[in-house]
Amino acid sequence: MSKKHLQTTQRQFTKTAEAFIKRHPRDTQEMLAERAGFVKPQPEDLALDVACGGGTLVLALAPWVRRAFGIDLTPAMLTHAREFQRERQIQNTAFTCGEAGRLPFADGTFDLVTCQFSLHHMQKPQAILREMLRVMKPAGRMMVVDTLGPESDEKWELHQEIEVLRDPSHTASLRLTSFLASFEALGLEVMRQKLLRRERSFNDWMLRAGLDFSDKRYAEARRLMQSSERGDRAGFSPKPHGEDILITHNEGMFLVMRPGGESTLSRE
Amino acid sequence: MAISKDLLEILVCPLCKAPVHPTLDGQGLKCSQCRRVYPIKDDIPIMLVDEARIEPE
Repeated sequence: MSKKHLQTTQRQFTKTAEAFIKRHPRDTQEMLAERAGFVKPQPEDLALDVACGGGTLVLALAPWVRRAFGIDLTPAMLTHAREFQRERQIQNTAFTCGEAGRLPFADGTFDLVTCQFSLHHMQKPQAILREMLRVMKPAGRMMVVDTLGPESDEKWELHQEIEVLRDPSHTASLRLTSFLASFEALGLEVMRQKLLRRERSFNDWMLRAGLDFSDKRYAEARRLMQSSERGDRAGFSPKPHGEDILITHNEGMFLVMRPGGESTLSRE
Repeated sequence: MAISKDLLEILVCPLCKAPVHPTLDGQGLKCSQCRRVYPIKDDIPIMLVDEARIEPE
């Protein structure tokens, strides 16, 4: 990633670490348990969560694996991760500050490599997937979870405009078809796949990115969101809800492996 | 809480992928190949190339 984009990402998440951690609708215990179960964690697994943020997935995986590590670009996020780790007295985890595109681990180190809701912050998501694959053992597994951009070009562009307005470190929401093409290009097979529609409050979503009602970017994003209502022109399916707007993100969860990798895991 | 032993065992230099070892003062991790020293802040290794300094032999 370019130095400038790394700095933008670090700045965004340093500024919003507190709000981001407190308003994380994707990380309820139920959702984390769902993701932890999705990867079929094994007691001998050495796991790494890339761009781990506040470490929620690392801590959710920890009870089911030998060791769970997390790496993130932003030290302020890792400070929260460490606090959660101490509060819950989880011993078999550790956190490192580092770049997703230059992981400080040797080839083939991990049984399980995960990355949730982060590839849309990366300038070269394909390069990040390749780097994750590098540190994965030959028979290892990779889980990628992210929001999905609309398949239609027109919707995608307005969707993208709103996302970037809200968070300048947002690079691009990949589409389902882009994810599948990326996995194929890397020679990976999709073992499990789950698509979800997640409804949330527009206001909360903005606050999590550090934007409140008084912010110009809030007003502009709200205007665009409202203007997209007819014909769902940005793919957020917005619905007026009192002072708020309910919006929907499409999410994809993928568990991928190299062909003939783990024979103990059944294909679903 | 110091850096976990398990983490130290698997950390390498993000540039040359050579093993790193704690410095004498315990404030950093030094690459055995390029001699970059990555700082440790609040027990978290900062494995960012821009944050590292290159030490003489």
